[in-house]
Amino acid sequence: MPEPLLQVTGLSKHFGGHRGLVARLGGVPAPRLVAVDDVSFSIARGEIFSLVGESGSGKTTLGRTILRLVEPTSGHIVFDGTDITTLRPAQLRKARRQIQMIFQDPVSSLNPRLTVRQMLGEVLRVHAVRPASQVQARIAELLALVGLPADSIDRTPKHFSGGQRQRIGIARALAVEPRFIVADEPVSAVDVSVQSQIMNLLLDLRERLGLTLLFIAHDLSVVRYLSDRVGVMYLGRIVEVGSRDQLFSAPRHPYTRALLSAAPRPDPNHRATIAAITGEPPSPLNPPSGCHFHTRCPLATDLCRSVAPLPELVAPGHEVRCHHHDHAAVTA
Amino acid sequence: MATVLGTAAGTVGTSAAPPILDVRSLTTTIPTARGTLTVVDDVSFAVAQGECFGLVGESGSGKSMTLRSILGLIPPPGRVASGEVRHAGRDLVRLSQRELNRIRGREIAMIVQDAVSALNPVYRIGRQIGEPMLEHRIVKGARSARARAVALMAKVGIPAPEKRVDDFPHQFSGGMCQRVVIATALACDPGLLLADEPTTALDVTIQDQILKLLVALQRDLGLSLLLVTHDMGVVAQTCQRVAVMYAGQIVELVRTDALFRQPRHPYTAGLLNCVPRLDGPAVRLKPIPGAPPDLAAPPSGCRFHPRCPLATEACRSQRPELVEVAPGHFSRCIRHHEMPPDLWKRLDA
Repeated sequence: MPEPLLQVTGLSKHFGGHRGLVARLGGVPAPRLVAVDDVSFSIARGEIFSLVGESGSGKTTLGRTILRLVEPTSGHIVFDGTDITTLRPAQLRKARRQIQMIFQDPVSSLNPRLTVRQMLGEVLRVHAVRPASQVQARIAELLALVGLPADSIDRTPKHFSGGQRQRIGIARALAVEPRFIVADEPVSAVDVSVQSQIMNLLLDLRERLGLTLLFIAHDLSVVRYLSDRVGVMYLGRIVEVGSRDQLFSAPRHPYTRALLSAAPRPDPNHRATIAAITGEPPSPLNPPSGCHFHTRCPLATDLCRSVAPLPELVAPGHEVRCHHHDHAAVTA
Repeated sequence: MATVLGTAAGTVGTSAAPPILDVRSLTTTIPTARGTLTVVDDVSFAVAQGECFGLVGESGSGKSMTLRSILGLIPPPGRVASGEVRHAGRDLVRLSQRELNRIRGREIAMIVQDAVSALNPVYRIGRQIGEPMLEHRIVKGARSARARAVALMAKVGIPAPEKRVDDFPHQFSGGMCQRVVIATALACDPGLLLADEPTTALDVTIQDQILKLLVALQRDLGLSLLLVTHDMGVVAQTCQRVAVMYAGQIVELVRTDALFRQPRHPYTAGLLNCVPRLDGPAVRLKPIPGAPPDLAAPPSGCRFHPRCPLATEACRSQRPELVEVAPGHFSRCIRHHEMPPDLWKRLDA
């Protein structure tokens, strides 16, 4: 098997929980939130890997940790053979030419006072990707690449529709010719009729530029459309990971099954095949013992309440964290 | 002459009862620095007794503005410029704010998208649910309002209601806040519930729970529901009939099953064709080109013509009417009879 472009091993991110002066004097320590809990996965070159989960599952924090916009508490992120968890700021800036991000909100992630020319020009200058004489040509090239009209170059964000703003965000990420892009909910703030335009653009860019993508989303149908492989997150842990077909056609974790069953389908004749999931996701400040999902799981036993399941390989490339994944397969 | 869209015999059920809500040629305008925007443009539809009727569209399509216009909630200088909203023998458009206040929350209640900010953070939950009951005098005294609040909390699926009735909103999750908002809306036993994207801010497992709750309430209490959403999946699973809105206008109105089986407007067909699916083969989606129009400068003729694969010269010059193309099936497209079933599939993306 070829070496993956990105290899994440045992990555964790905790917020709070510092033993401050007050705590040491006998007070109560600040609560600790485990946003990302011992997560490992890898992404092959040219692959689109998706992380899907509900709010509070840790998917966004995980994405930001990979760019070191958030510093990990422990674990390693190896990008193209280099461990970027330990890079110093100067080296990190260099690495970020390889790894870029597309944000969810195309309104607040663009400076409202800058024109497209200024926005893209700034990126090209800071990273010194092209000599000054070629900057204008490169901006024009980027606009064409993301399907924006050439005359958009001197306009500010307010003159663009939501979908066009997201294209500007994509052009900005592509400006430095990255090999890897973290896209955090890039289509969830875009109108339905425009969503598929942006998704097709991402698929085309992957083909044309040989990009590798980490795609973060909550919408399962969007994930199914875009992904080669998928990881499902629940309260900081990846509970199931596999190829798109494994995840959508033969899910083995009760949570994945529940998510698929709960998603509204544009088909009036569709009837859910499994019972709806009950209860709400517990607070990540105080996650349940053992398997985090046991409080909502129809298959939960005493074992689930006391022992956190480890990832088990159920098929080549298909890993599940569930003590009862065999049972789950039978009750489909 | 105003037609009562979709209440003709044989559309939904066979009840001859008058609709609980009958919206006729409703037009709402908002003056802006860039000119007057017609955000709701000649909108007509009727909600039958006990029906769940959907208004579906993208942002700026006018679906939320239609909902607000019904209850007189358009902030000035925006206003309902013309049309009627008939409910229980009255035209709500002609009522004063004081008269509307006797109807809001009592006969017609509303659920908003952002439940967390809809609740007052400094009042206990029980007081918020009880407030409309006291306002409309359907209970006597705070004690009975509180007892009814507890009962309503149980009805909408809030665990341990007698304990939680004295909690504050920040002690509730987003999904539980939406249940509180629903309980508040049900406080005075309204006959009609207006729901504006009630599950959009919620996670998918919680959305599923809330939609099932609304459907159960509609069935058990005989409620009528007018549901605004952008999500075709939500429509498919909750609404009996649906109106599709585009740039302020209804472009198609029909029973939900017929809409998904055989859409008769190119926009609806395009929308259904460009949403990714959870089942079936994974084929490349064919997007609708372009973006929804700017209401300050709407396209001439048919508002959808710049994005439509069927558009002709007539579509550019002539404003199409919403016409009945099959019993109970309305479309605002002059070429509806020439629309091939695979209209969008033939296009190259």
